[in-house]
Amino acid sequence: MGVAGIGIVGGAFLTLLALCVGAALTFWLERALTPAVGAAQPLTLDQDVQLGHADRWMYPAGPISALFGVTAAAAVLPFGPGLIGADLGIGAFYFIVVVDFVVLGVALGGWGAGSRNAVESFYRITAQLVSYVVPLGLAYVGALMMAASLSTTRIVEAQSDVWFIVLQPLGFILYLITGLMQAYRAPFYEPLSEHIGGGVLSAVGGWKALLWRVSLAGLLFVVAAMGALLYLGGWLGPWLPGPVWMLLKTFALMALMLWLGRRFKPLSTAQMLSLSWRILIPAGLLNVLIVGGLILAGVGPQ
Amino acid sequence: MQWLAFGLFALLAVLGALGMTTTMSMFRSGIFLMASFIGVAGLFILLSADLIGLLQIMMYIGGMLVMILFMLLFSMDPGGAMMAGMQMSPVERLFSRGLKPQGENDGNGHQGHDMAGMGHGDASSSADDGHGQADAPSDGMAGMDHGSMKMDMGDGNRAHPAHHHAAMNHAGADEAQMTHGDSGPEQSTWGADHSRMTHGEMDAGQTQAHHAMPHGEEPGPVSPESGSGQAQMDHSSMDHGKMDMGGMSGMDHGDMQMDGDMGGMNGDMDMGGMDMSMVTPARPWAAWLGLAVTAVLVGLLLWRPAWPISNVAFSTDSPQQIGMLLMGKYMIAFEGAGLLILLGIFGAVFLQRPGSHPSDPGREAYVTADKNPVPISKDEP
Repeated sequence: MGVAGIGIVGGAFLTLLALCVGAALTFWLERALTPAVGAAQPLTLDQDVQLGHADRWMYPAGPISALFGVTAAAAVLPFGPGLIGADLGIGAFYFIVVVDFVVLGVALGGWGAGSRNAVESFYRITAQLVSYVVPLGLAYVGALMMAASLSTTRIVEAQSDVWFIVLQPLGFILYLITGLMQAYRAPFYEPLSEHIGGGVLSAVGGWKALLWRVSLAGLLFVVAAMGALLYLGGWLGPWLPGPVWMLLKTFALMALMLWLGRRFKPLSTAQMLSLSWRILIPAGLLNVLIVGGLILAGVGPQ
Repeated sequence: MQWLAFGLFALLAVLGALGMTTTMSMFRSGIFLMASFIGVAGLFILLSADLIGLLQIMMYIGGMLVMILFMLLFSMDPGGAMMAGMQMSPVERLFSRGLKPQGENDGNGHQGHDMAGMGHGDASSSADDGHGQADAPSDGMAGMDHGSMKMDMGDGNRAHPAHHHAAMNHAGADEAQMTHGDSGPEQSTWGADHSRMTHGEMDAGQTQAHHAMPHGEEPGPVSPESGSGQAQMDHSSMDHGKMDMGGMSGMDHGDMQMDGDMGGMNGDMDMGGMDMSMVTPARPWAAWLGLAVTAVLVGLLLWRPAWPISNVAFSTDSPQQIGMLLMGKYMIAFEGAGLLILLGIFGAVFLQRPGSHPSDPGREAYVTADKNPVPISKDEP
């Protein structure tokens, strides 16, 4: 153990701290900007919901799995040089993978709750997963190609000259849209929409409701932080210390995403799939092509 | 530390596989398989092949969820509630726990606590006011765990007097019925498509057709007295491909006579055969085969034959190595595969274009359903 142990404990502490700050920021921003996901239901922390059809193990496993995914994703977000939970060599890919645990959580919790709305929530979130993963990956690929690395710290360091949003605005727009899909925010909140009574959120109470709220808030935070890393230069910036810049950028991106969500009509799952496969994926491929051309032309970090 | 992690992941993998093969619920089966693969991914990560481990997790969370979704859409009893009443070995009983018939879970008590506000009434009231809903799991509900039919909660609240006939009344303590009147006119396209898909010869408009399927040839441990338990599936409730296995209950023959006009449907649906699929005589063979393979694997682990081991050093930057290989040695194949995938995507988008199959009436239904997405539970507050 020794140094490695201190590193692990420090990384875990940093991750949790970042997640707490992020969730608090998200809650505040939600209250300021837009009705929260599932705001139709008041947060019933003092009363649990009794479901006659609930599965004993899967139903509480849902929010735990979701929160695990968000926490594990927060581990690879660097808030400054060296200020990172765990600097994995494949950090960006790891991030995409562990965020999937939120979908798994909705599946487990929705099916386990056994109520009609919750099961419908599972159906819809699976369809939404199908619609966003490919364009989301393509939105990552642009930035990853320029940085020539999957490590989150090296992606940030590659933007020391110019941020990637300048070089690939198309990729940034793509990331905004797919990030909203991944965070289940306003135009793409069909799995948790009020048509199905909040979906899986309608079937929880007590600590499970709290965990769901925290993981959904934290999900928006980590998705926005990843966007800030990939396209806005992470902790880089003049005058202010690194973590402040990172938080500022993340916060601005969160505000932008929530504001965008208010501007557009909510899309159904079928419309989401159509948007994804007809527009976003070709746009992503085009972005990859453009970035390849830019790299060949010598633009960007060498 | 390493051994502890290895033990945990290996246990997860093995227990997941065991649960996958023995549980009665298809959803649980898929989740167990996912857990098993996540355990294997953990083993990969322990072998410092973290890219492969993460790839495995990504593939199997996303892929397995989609697969589970298709299983649910196309299978009769995804929750395993129907098979849970049958004779099970102890292992199966362990992994199907919660799917078993539970008398105390079945009362009307749970309905009041439903936060989603789906108005459940008890059977006596709903039988009168013409709702297609008779949710009366009673004490003598034979063989079927009402508490674990996953999709049954939202009984349709719409009034369907036409669909409501005498057989739906709560008639005795040894029968429990539940119908779902979900075939609102706005959902008729979905219902029609899926009913055509699953029951080829069934008229889709015949929404009140109740299939009575005998599946009680194998008397379960709990229902030895119900000679022919009937699984009744409300045909009208298959909106969005979700088949509510409503009204699975032990019914006596009197009720089958009541909807005797549907009696002819018995032979059409081979549901009785599907029920019994878990109780094939091959099961002991499969168990022995599994034990034999386990013995061979453990034996290999103990014996450790001197297989040649490659001396290539591990690198922590495996993605870069893979990239080098793909762009160097295997570039032609890689580009070819990429081109194929691209063609496939464009082909799929092209084929998905509405109107490219003008002769197909089902296509029109899908297109209209796409244009006007139906809020599935308008009736729920």
